[in-house]
Order: sequence, then structure tokens, then C-alpha cells
Amino acid sequence: MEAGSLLPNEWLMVVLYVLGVLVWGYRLRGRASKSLEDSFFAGRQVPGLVASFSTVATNLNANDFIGWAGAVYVFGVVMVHFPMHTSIVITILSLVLMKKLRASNAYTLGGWLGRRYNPSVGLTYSIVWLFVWMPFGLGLYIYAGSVVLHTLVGWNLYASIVILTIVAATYTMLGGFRAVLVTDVLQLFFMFFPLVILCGLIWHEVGGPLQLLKDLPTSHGNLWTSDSPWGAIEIVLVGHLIMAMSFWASDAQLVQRPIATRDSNSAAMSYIGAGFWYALLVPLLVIFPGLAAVKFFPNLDKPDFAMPMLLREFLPHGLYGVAIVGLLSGVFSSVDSTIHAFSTMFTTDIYRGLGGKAEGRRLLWISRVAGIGLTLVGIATAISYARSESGMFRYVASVIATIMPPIAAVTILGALSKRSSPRGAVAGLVGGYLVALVMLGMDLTGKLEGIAVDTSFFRCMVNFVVSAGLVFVVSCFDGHESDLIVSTRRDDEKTSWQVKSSAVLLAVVIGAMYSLIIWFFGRSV
Amino acid sequence: MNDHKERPIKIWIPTGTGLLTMGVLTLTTPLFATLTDRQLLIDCVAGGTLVLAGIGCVVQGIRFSR
Repeated sequence: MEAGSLLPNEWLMVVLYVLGVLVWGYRLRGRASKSLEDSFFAGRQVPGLVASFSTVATNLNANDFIGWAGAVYVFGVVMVHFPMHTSIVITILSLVLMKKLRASNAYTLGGWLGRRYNPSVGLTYSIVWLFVWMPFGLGLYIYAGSVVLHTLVGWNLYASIVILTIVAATYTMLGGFRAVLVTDVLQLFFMFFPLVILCGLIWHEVGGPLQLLKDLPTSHGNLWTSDSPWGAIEIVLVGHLIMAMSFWASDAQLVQRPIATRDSNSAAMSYIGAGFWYALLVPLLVIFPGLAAVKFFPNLDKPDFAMPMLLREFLPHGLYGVAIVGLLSGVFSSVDSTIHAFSTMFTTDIYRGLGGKAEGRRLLWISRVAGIGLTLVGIATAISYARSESGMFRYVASVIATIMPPIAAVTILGALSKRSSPRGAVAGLVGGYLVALVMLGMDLTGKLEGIAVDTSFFRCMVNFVVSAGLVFVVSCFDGHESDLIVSTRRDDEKTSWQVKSSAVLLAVVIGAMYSLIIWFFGRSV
Repeated sequence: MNDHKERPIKIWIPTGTGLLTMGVLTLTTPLFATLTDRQLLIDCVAGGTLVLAGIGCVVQGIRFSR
């Protein structure tokens, strides 16, 4: 795929956007320097709707749009289960976990786990996230976004990696969480708006989804196919559900949004709002174009070119520039959220957890030095990805399947039941990580080949079940009851009617959308 | 550390300014390239929508800041 070019007005869009976020970060520097609450959580005054925009923007980055559309291009409509699962998981977590997390006034998920169980459980989470997941994740976000821009516009890959990361790190460290929120909201508009028009243009071109389905190979129209590298359809369905649960319950960047909201009901709304995006827009804006790419470009060199090809072929200049800004802001929103979450966790969980005494501006400077450190590590990791031959994405997916399920099991059971005990949590973490490492070893040595080519979903499923089982069994023997769970059931934390009605509406939307998809594709096959 | 004052998030004006800028620049595309009638229509609709959304956000931001 040859790189395209930008018109002068499109270059101006890119330059003004970059300058705009830097100026905005600089303008907010005074507020971000006043206190930890202001810098890390925007004073805990974020409305639920803004937090939900930011949650979606943080998670749906350039990598997701390109990668998901590429997977649809290869595997077909079976991929539509993924956003539907994600929206189901988000609805459950919004009511079960997010309200309690916000009500506890914790700074991070590690902080909440430390208070809910004991400090060692919280510290385990913080160490795993800070020193295993975040460096890998940040490198991936930077590299994936830079590759997209390199492919679409021909920008130098290494220069993109360095410049994009430095810009995102600069405004994040200057403006704190307020600057991050604004870029997240802008990303949502700039990324989704061109995609909405793209979807309409494709719809018109293919003559509607029913006609598109008739033109596709049979394998691509099968909603229940087992013809994917993840094995039997049952493993794909259950495994992905658990992987989504693990990711959305434990990822530091995502849970920071509900923590920064005004109250526990806004925290629930932040996740419920994100659920609507996944249930309604991802099938339309990502899955549908991915399927159309099979018809328009049946012989692409790489499946990940599917979305870039559609953008180039269907969007006229002008709107194409907006899409490039959207992809650029997608890189920024993921990078800024990771750096910001790292600074917060390092300062509150590690520095203070280990007895650090600094306060006020000195503490903020420590958080900034930590952010600079992660920025440099992220650039180095992204460059190493750029130089590796292959296997990067599978390796990172494998890391997720290994590290997230035990933490997610401990977190969810801790929020669900006051009987989940500290010893149960330690047993769940130790046992879960032991099983995770053994299964990873078996996977790397080819001992799981009989199950699937890519065993990420299978391993995720087993790790979660083992961890949750250990927490449950050991806690039953302990007979412990947590005060933290009891204290979050105060009158002022009661679920508001807005949250209840939104959750019910979301459940209805998910049910209707999923039923429609099953009816539609079942009938067509 | 917990005695923070309430400082509302000002998100409307920066969002509106961003949308307005992108909309105006989208509308300038015919100055730099020859577009077909269909492409021109798409750009006008897209640019016009962004401009209107941007103006709406800025107006909302000004109302809230009073």
C-alpha cells in the first residue's frame, strides 16, 4: 500500500491540532501544579458523560480501529461478538465495581485493593502494572499509531514515534488530567465523525448490509464459525467474555476515569456511557467497514490495511485530513492516559507506599520525573517493536492473558462479596499467576497446540477460573467480613434513578442489537 | 489533600474551537484540489456540520462560564 499525501489545509489541521493540545496543556499548568487531586483527577469534578467519552477514547485508539477491522477482514462477522461482549461486561462492572471504587475515595485500583484486602495485594497490582504492562502497552500504542500514520501519510516511522510521544508527554505533564480529558473528547469527535460518513458512503456503495452479505464468501458470514486461530467457538465466546472482564476491571487507565468523577453514580455512568458506544457504534463503524473491505479489496497484502484503504478510497481530501487528525489524536489519547496513570500510580502506590514523605509540589515533581522515565522507556519499546520481524501483537495479547485475569478475579470478588478475605486474595494472586506462568510455558513450548493456534482466550479463561476459585475457597475457610464493602452501602451512595434507567436502557439496547445481529446473520447463512 | 475546592471542567470551549477550526479548514479544500461534485458535496456537509457543532459547543461554553 503506497502512502498518500496531504494537502496544505490538511497539513494545517495537523499542525494546529498539535499546537492546540500543547497550548492547552500549558494554559492548565497552574491548576495541575496546585494539588495531587487537581493534577491526577481534575479535582474529582469530572461529569459522568465526559468521563465516559474519555473512557471510550482511551480504549478505542488507532490500533483498535485498524486491528479490529483487519481481524474482520480475515475472520468475518464472528468478530461482532467482541464489541457486544465488551458492552455486556461494561454494564455489569459499572454497577458492581465502579460505584464502590469511587465511593472509597481511592487514588488508584491498587490503593483500593490495598484497603479492601491488605497493602501487599495492592502493591502486587501496582508493581505488575507499572513495570510489566505499562511499558509494553505504551510501546504498542506508540508503535501501532506511528505505523498507521507512516502507512497512510508516509511519515518517517522513527521520527513519528519520538515526536508523537514527546508531544503527548509534554501536555500531559503540564496540564495533568484536565488536559488529558480535553484531548480525549476531541479524539472522539475527530475519529468517529469521518467514520460515520465513511460508513454512510460504504452503505450506499454496497447497497446495504444484506446485499453486502450476499457478495461475501460464506465463511465471512458465519456468526458461529470455529475457523479462527482461537479454537472452538465456545472458547472464543467464553474466553473473550472473560478477557474483556479482566481488562475492563483492572486496566489502570480505564478505572482512573470513574475514580475522577464527582460521585459514585457518575462513576457508574462513565462506564454505562462507554457501553453504548460499544453496543451501537463499533458494529456499525468498524465491523461493517471491515466486511465491506473484503468485497472492495479482496487481495490485500496485510489485513491491517483494510481500514486505511477504505479511508483513502472513500474519503475526499479535507475530510481525509480530519480522519488523519483523528488517528493522531487516537495515539495521543492512549499515550497520555498511560503516562498519566503511571505517574499517579508510581507516586501514590509505590513512592508513598514505601514511606516517601514528600508533599505538594515536590510530590508532583516526583510524579513528573516518573512520567518522563516511562516516556523514554515507551519510546525505546516502540523502536524495538519497529525493528522486530513479527509476533509483536500476539506477544502483547499473550501478556494480557497472563497478567490480567488473577487481578480481575480478586478485584471483582472483592467488590461483590464482603466475605472475600485478604488471605483468599493472596491465594488467588499467587495461585493464579503460577497457573498463568505454567500455561504460558506450555503455550510457548507447543504443548497447547491441540487446543488452538492462539491460546490467549483459553489461557485467560483458565487463569480467571483458577484465581476466582482460590479466592472463593480460601475465603470460605477464613470467615472474614470486609468493612469497606459495608461502608459503601451508605444512603448517599445509593444508585440514582438515572443510573438505574441508563443501565436498563443499555441492557435493552445490547439485547436488541445482539438479537438483531443473530437473526440477521443466522438468516443470511 | 482532600480539602479541594470545586473547579468545574471547562471542556466546551476547547472542544468547540477544535471542531470549528477543523470544519473551516475542511471547507477550504476546493482551494487546494479539484474535487468532483460528489466529493465537494461530502466536504461541504462534513465541514458545515463540524462548523455548526463547533459554534454550538463554544456558545454552550460561554453560557456556562457566565
